[in-house]
Amino acid sequence: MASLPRRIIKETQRLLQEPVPGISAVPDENNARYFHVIVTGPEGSPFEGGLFKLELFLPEDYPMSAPKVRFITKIYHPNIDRLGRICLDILKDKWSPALQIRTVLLSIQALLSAPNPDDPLANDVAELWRVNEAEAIRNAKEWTRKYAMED
Amino acid sequence: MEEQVDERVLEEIEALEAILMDDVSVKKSTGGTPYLVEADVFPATADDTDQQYVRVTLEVKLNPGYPDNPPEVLLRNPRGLDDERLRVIMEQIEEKCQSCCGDPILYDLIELVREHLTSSNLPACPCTICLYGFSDGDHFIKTTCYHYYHAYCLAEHATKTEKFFREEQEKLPQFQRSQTFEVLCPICREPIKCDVETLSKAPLPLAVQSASIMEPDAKLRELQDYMSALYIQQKEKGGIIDPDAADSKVLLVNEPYYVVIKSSQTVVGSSTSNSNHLYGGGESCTNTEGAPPEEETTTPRWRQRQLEQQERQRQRAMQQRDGRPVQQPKSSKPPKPAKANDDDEEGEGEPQRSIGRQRRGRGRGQKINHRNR
Ligand SMILES: [Zn+2]
Ligand SMILES: [Zn+2]
Repeated sequence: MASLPRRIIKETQRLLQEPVPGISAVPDENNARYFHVIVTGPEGSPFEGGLFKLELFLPEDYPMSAPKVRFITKIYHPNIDRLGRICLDILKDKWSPALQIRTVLLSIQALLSAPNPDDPLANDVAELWRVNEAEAIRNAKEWTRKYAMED
Repeated sequence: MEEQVDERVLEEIEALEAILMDDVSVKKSTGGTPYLVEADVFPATADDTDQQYVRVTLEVKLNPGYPDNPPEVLLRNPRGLDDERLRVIMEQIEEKCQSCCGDPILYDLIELVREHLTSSNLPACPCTICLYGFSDGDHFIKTTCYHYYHAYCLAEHATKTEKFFREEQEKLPQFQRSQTFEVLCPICREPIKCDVETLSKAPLPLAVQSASIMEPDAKLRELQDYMSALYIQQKEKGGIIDPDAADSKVLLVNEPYYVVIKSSQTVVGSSTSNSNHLYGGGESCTNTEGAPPEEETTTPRWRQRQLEQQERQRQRAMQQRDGRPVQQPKSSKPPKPAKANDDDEEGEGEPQRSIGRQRRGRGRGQKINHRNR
């Protein structure tokens, strides 16, 4: 089994011992670079009450390269596409090795609080968010209720 | 009442200014009585400022009656020092002040602080790249923005960002290319001047070599089970994204931001599953290249993983029922996340530390800061 950089071990331990409120990240039992993540929908956002599953993978050259993250649970959000891919600069060209799994997940949680339909992401969700925000928010709440709430 | 300036104090201040010069500043009242002395204290490194990783400003308020009454002392502007170290220094200062009533002690106080800094001339904050601290013997760098990194870690960062920069330049037409690459500070993104070649000769940081391995525990197991349960629950409600079902035409063509990651088949709307969907997140938004087509797999890897996961759960449940010990999660076969990383295979089975050994073998660079005692 490939050995794991110490930094990953350290981050994992801290994630488990001092979890970030509203965020849970757990390494897969067979692959310590693969994390099962739950981000709870922030209060006051259309995603409130939802438990959103994400998957996060630390590439071979992490932390020199950004983690790869996507939503697994369906979410109605202008900056997240149908495949759950997230449009966030720190996951691409603004990545810095000073960032960590926790800071990445906090940024994603912040993105749920502050959807940005003006980001150059021209899907139908962003479009509706621009032209009829009330309806878009209704949709987001509906999706949250339907797909992301615990029974 | 006419101000009576204590001779002892005047003599002391005069001597201090002569010795410390620019590193000390004295505030005097209109009557000429010194009432505040500020000294910037550095470790004694034979005036080699590149070797000074810690510093602090000692502020001494000369109360009326000094030196017969003790002065008030404050430590300001600490760099590379943590609270614990500051507390210890402060304690000794207080002690000194109490025990030396009647004698001028400014110089002694400054020496006391300097000795502390000299004996602990290592930044107390961890390196934000590897998350480990600086040990005696580590090669490390103090940037002009006052951030600290292991030379080894900064070299990795510099090498990686330079490679990325070159690759991005390749994509641009000739006239848009820029030749100047700068290493940016990972914390504040200020440009850093460093010699990557020299840096990359540094050995792996000591703390990183000797850190302990994590052992999974019951709590982790419980969390993993919860994650699986939630997944299954959401799956049953149709709440899990199915890359097969997503309309890739809308996804890939209408979104300038998420330009084609995949083969041309995907663009024309083929619904064939492609494992590379999964991890597009990291590169999708900027990747404007048409990636070479990849072979189709009949069962997407994410689905295999999901099936494996469910299977493992069943097995574990059975094992628990049978009273057998639960299989340790250390078992070797990692589920390969779809499109994990293209270079993934290379590193497999190759212990991280061997990189360090190779680097160590190449000897030390001259410009690298190296702590000598
Ligand atoms: Zn480091
Ligand atoms: Zn900096």
